[in-house]
Amino acid sequence: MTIRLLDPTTINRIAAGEVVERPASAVKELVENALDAGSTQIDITIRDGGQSLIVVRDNGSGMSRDDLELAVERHATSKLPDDDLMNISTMGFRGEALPSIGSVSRLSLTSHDVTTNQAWILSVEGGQKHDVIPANLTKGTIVEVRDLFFATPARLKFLRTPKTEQGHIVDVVTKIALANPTVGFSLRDETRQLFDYAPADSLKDRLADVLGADFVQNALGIEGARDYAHVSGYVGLPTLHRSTNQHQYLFVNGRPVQDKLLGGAVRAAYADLVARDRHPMLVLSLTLPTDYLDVNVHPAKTEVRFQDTQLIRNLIVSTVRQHLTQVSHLTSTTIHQAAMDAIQLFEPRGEHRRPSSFVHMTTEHNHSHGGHHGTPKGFTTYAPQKAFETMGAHVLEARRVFSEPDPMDIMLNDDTSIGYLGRAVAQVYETYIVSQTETDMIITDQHAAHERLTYEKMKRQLSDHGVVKQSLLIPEIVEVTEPQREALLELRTELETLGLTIDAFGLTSIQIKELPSLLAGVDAKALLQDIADQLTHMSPTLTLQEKVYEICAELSCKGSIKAGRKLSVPEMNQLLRDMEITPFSGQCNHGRPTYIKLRKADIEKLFGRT
Amino acid sequence: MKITLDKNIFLNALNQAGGIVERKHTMPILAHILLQIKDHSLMMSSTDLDISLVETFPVTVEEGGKVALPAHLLNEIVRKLPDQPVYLTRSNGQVVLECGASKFNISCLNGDDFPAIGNGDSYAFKFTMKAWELRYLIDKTKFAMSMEETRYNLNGICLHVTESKGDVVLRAAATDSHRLACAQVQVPEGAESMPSIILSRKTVLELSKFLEKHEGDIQVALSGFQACFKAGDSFMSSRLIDGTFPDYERLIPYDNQKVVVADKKHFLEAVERVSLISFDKMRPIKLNIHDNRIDISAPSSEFGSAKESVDAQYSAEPLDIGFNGRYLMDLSHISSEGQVEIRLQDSATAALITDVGDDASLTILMPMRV
Repeated sequence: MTIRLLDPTTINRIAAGEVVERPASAVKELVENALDAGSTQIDITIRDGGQSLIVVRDNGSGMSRDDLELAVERHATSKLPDDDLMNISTMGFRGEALPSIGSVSRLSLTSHDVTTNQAWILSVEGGQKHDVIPANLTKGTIVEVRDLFFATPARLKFLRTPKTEQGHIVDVVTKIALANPTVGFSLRDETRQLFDYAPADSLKDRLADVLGADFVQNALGIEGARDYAHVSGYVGLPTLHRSTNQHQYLFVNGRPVQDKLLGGAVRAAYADLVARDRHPMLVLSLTLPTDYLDVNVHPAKTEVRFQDTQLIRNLIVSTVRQHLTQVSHLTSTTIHQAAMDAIQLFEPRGEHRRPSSFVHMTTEHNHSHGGHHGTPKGFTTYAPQKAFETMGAHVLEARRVFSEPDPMDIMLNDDTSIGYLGRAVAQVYETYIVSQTETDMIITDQHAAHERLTYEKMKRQLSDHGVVKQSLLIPEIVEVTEPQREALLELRTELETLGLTIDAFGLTSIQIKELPSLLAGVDAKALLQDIADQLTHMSPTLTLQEKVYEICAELSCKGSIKAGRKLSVPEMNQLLRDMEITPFSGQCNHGRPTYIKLRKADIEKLFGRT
Repeated sequence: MKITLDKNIFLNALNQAGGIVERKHTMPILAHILLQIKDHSLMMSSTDLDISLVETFPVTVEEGGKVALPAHLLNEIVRKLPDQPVYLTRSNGQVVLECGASKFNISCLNGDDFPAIGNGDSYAFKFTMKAWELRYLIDKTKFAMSMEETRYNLNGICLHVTESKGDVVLRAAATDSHRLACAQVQVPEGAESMPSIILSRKTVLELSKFLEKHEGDIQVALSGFQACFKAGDSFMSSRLIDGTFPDYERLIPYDNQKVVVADKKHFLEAVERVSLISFDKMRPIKLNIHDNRIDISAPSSEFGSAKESVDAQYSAEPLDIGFNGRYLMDLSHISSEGQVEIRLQDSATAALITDVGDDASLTILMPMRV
């Protein structure tokens, strides 16, 4: 068989395989083009999950007739003015998107040229370009993609259901919308408007639109800088978590990315605050000069490379952690709300009737007063008292353990230092502390709370007194790859401050000479191997730190008061006061909340007092 | 089967069997012990498939036979019985146990289903040694065995023949990689070419109990995978740990020049008192050794700090060194009386610790950087 050059259409179709993996990637490319054109409103319409139709309409700068012709040529772009790949500031730059899409679909581009005040339309069908003809458009560009992948049946076969593909499109546009809060985005399919985000003044407003009010209420804005890099965004409270990391939005210079390094940094920042299998919600935006960054890693540009990964990592971990410290004693309001909902949604005696809402109940109640005497119909089925019973707050129980206030207690009560956790009133089930402030009733899990206090105290002691190191009689020899060996040796000083002393041993081995004494009994070989494995994507020292803290957590669990221990009122008050001043006291070491808050106003509503 | 036993002898044997039989099992027979009549004796066998024990003791036999009974249940029953003869009779798939006014019907399993236990007669290598010698080797070293499951070759005691100051000796060594203990006895006759073996932690602990009961001569039989210790008609056999023990000889710092000698009891008591203050579970302590004194201190913790001085003989230049207090306190397992001699080099290298007057055992302890 002879060797020949492939014809351009085939080349484009091959490239399309990389760039346009599914309808969502086409949408992404087109929306990014629109952003690069300086648009402030981008409207997207899709049909059949984007397979039969994608229309992206923007109000950007538009293209001239000549540009239109060039746009669908491979490696033609308006975005690399100096051919400088070191300095990429636009979303696109490879000049692959339009020709790739054009080669696998029926594409038409309509654009209004500002300079000549004329509009033109160009269509491409399976890579075959038609002539440019005049069109009617007063602003921006409309890109229409029909029958995506009709020219590549193989790819067509691998498309998922329209519903799935639509989900991917929503996901892609959502990410872009979060990265560009000042631009308006709308997305609709054949039947309905999926979303319509008006141009927002700030990320916060956009967040409320996209992630919901819950997130905004329980997130805090962060900002930090180190050398040339800058990070900002919103991070959720540790008690606001999800089962996947889908709700972690990471942007680098406005580009949504999925990056192991960043993911690892997030995990590190939330270490010991969120359970291992839960993921916090956050939106982080990283800005850094383009020459410290390589975005040209993958055609879809979801991966980036940083010149100094350590700096980026440290920036994220320290910024997030530092901000979390300030609010870490709080638990997410969603939890408090959930507690309230649990009371309100109570279904008495298994009747499958949801009490619609209390507003409704009150009106019925009032109405019945006007109408007739006797128990109002709605009121018997809706029994808040019953709900309280299932909540576990037996009035009797509370009374039994209620301690008479003693002089010590009164002394404490007069103290103005009582904070947001209020004054302890009672202990129920010898497990939960009930306390009150003027506006809230708070239920605290004594074991979870005390565990966190003990743990934080231990961590403080470790950092105050330094790590005690136990030398090994027989050094552990661990085989590693050569790059790992080099990297580990570079980290030698850092590891040593954490109590792990290592040294070179032969060409492919490391010997462990000293271990943190806390880790006696831990498999040192496996530990170093873990550290080595983490070298590539996240800070390896974290592995060691985590291990040390894990042991501390175990010890603190054992060293804490247990559920089932009776506490006197002064003891309870002391615990609450300690919580108020201890960082991260809003969740136990496993990420569970330590307390829930019921607003007095909500309780009053339950009893129809408002 | 129909027999009469002395309650206390029975209980004693059951106690040791209880240490071997695991409480939880997927194979029910392994939670049982085998009772088997041989002439005028009862052979009681227990096994966890790694370690097996056969204790033989005289009983009054009316009718022979064998039967497997649940080990832990039997142990608990016999423990609570009055001090009176115990009658065991097999009837209709159950064993009737009578003692005083109590009567139990205990479900049993067929004795033939019990795994066969080898008595070591066929093992290639055999020699005889005194029970007290074997006890000495174990008692002076077992505290240093590793608990770390991943380093299985350290989870026990290594027994091997070596040369020490011109003598051929049988030596025991144990290490958890922070410290090492060894002890040696004159090599028993016939053991000169014994292969090096590692006895597992459980074997060591059970063998220790076995040796408490059996004084006199112990016949040791070894195969490539098994060791058997036999005293009369009773024996214990165990699978060996398949691994190599580190070459520890070169780690022993015979050249350490700075020698401090102190009263062991006073010294260890002081260590124990001082380490009370430390919050760390490892109880780090610091020794400041100078002019015939050891100042023992614990680094300050949230609970405060502590200090204590003990008299010692020491004339080299002053030296500061940190140790894991627990490891020091473990030295009392070797002996708790007399004088202890600690030979040091500097604050970063291993210390060699011996009891004055006991040339046959030693401990090496790595320092801790406090």
